[in-house]
Amino acid sequence: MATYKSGMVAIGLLVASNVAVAGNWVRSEGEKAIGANLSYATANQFWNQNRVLGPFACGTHDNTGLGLNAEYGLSYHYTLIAQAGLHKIACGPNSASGLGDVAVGIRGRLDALSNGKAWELKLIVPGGYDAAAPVRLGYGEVGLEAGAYFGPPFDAYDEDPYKPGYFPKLDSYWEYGGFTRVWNGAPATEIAGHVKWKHAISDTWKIGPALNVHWTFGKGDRQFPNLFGNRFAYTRSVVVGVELSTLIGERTSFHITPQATVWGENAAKSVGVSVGVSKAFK
Amino acid sequence: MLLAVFACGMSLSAVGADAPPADFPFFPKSTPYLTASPAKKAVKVVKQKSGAAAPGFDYRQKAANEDALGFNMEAGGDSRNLEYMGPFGQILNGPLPIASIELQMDEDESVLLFYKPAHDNSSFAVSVLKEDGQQLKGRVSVKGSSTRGFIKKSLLVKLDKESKGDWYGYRKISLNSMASDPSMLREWLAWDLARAAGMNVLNTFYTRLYLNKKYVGLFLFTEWVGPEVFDRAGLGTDGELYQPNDATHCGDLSAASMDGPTQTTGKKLNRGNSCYEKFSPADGNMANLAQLANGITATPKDSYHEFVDSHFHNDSLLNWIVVNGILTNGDTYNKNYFLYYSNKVAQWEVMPWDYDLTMGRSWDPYLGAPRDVFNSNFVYYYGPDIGFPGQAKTKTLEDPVLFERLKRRTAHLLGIGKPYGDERTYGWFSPERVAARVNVIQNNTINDAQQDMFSSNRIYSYDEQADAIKYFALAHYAYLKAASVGDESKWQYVYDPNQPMNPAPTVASTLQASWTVQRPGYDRPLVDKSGKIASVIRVRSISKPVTITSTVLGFQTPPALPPERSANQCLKRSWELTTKGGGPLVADVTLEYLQENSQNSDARGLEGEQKDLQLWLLDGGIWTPQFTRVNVLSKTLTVRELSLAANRTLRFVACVDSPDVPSQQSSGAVSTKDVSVPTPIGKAFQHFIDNLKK
Repeated sequence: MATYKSGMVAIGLLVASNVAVAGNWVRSEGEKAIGANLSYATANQFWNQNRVLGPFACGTHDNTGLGLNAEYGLSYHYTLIAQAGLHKIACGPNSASGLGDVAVGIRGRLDALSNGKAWELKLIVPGGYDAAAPVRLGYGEVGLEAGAYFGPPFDAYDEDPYKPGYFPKLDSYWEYGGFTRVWNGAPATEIAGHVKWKHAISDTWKIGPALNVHWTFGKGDRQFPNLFGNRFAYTRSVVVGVELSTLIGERTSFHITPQATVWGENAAKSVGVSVGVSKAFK
Repeated sequence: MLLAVFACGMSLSAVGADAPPADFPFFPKSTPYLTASPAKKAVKVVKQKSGAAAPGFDYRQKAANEDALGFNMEAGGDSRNLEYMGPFGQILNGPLPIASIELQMDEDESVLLFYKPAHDNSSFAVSVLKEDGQQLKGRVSVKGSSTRGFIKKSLLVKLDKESKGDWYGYRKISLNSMASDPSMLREWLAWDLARAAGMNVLNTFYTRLYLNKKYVGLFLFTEWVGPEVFDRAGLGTDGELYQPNDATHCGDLSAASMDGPTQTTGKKLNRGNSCYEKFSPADGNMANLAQLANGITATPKDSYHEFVDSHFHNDSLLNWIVVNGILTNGDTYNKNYFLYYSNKVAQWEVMPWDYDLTMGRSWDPYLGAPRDVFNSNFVYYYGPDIGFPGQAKTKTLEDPVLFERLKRRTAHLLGIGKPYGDERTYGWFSPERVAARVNVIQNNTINDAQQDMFSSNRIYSYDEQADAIKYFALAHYAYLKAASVGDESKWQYVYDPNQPMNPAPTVASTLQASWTVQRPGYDRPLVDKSGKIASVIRVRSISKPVTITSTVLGFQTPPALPPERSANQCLKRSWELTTKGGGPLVADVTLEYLQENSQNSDARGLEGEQKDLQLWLLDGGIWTPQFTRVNVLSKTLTVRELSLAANRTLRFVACVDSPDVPSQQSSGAVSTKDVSVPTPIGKAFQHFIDNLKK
């Protein structure tokens, strides 16, 4: 309903950018929401830039992240969003931890009379990490992201979506969206899309598969050496997962999503899980 | 572009934006002394605890007239002068007080205000345009809870702090849409009755809303409840203001209610933490309220009246139960009221809230939301104990002193038996005076109702809505007189915590009542000893006295059916009228059927729509269809100018012609699907494209 959590992108990317939390829900004026998403991913292998699978020279790559996001309903039309990720990434002797990229932006309605369809515009800034280190928390560049996200529609005849236990009264529905991200400097321009299908298994629980595709236009310019044995600042991946979600209290949602990267280029072949909680306050 | 849909709807209006008169009684600065003419001179209502009627007033003659002639439900039908209660307990006569308010806001946002997702709480910039040209800037938002699902939204305008001035003394302008009550009468009548009962309540008055110079509809201004409302009754502004939490609906003033929402449900529900909200001062300190609730629970039954008299100001607890009982307000005692503790007098005052689901409206336990609340059921036959069995109420009814006081005050306001208070409020809510008020309000607001683009009375006419209210007044009066508060009633209140809140499915029943008619008159209910109406007869002409016996066989298939009609095409109710003695007479006959909820209904399983019901008359072995006026809201079927021969028995059944597809319930407004508003970004993009084209 409220926020699409995409921890999967970070797992596929390794180079974190774990600010990829996107939403199709525009908040009421004055409404506040906070969310936390804990993720863990591990990988022994990666796909190089020729999409050939091989082992990490440094051993096992582990990425533990805590994505945080906050939203505030500025007006009926716009919601302010702020996102940040704390990470601990390690591969053999190499490790890095701390604040990754930080994003601030705005979300707006694609349909003035409804909710569940939104655009986003975000500015991404590096959080002060060492972008030259072999294991790093991001590209170390400023980026600009524009996306559009879609979920089931809500209109004037719907019940109160803030009611505890509320879910769209649909046996199943789709959520999908995508974004493009342009960077200052070396990183390649990215384009990504996701699609989820959610199916009701009870009055409050939903389950369904999720697919996330990440692509770049070109391979970007050369940057600092990375764990994939090159200097290109780009990554391409396909991540699949299964999301189980529910509401655990008044305007409080929860999800757990096991996921795996099934195809990649300049990307880790990782498996992991993300667990998230978000809460809205009127 | 599609904004035109909205604009066209609103531009239909030709209602004028008149300024309210200088002596408008419901503005904060109004006092009884501002009333202009001697006819409107303020009269303080005498405290009704021990009052007696003025000498010369003969209540027995009134009762005898009602018995002989019935009630004139067309009273005031050609008048625009209304009898109503002012905010200071004064009785006023004159035109219906109606104000107008003109708002100005962005055109697109004026559409969003009504058509955006129902539970979005966003506000929009607005200006209140005053007559002198002054613009007061503020924000407008949608208010309410379940009523947000209607397209015609209730609105709240809050003026900005920087905006100097006010709208007739108000800086928070709360406009109830009355969308849940298409009659647009219930709340007005309810607040008026509460004032007549001696309660200090919020100011309310009809208000025409204009938005961007276009008429939108008729709203009910509902004063924002704050300490200053209670100060009007001399309670000061430094008191404590509480309201039960609407979402938890457990604030029944019991000691247990201070422990959160577990006590009324038996199990912990995730409904929040508190049964109450404290609005003023907003310090979260519930100590005073806890002391009251603990006192209500701990006080023994035989001294409860002393507790109530010492703790509640102006008998407001008892008056609240009286008013709710008269109005059949079942949506309270655990929610929908305010409570104010006055430091000045060290007493509590109860103020009712939310009277839209009254006067026949009923919750249906067998339907899902929102039809459980917003449905076409109609109830008449509930006593003054209606509503959630909260402890403050049940203990009041269990206390013999308070119980007697409640019965007498209820009877006084209905005009039953000996007066118990000011003569001028005796019979304030009697059928005839309610009908007069309804008729006059209709005369004053018929244009508004017809041009209100949002009103759902496009399904049922405004006349039908008003007639249903009048029939409620008649039927509920008859029931309370016979079963609860009349001299011959035997009502004993016994609280049984194991009794289910929902009535058991009704079984086959028989009603019977007789009346000897002497001369033509008005609407005369023939009332069974249970208090239920067997029929309402209005005799138009008669040659000799006749005794009419009216019999009803309810909740059972009629013993005989008209030709080519199956049982499922007919109501499970039939009626008999037997005349004895005298000569023939001509009368209008109204017969009711019951639909208290979707299960307890004579119309259950009916293969057709109730609006298509037609009465069939069996006389001398021959069935003849009758021209029938159906009121689907009040569940009544009327045949006009029916000839009743002497010493005959006429049998009636009500059937539909053939199975029909039920029509879609509609709000009467433009569907969301037919309305579109560009987003600000979309609008900017469109401007950009337009400029490129140029």
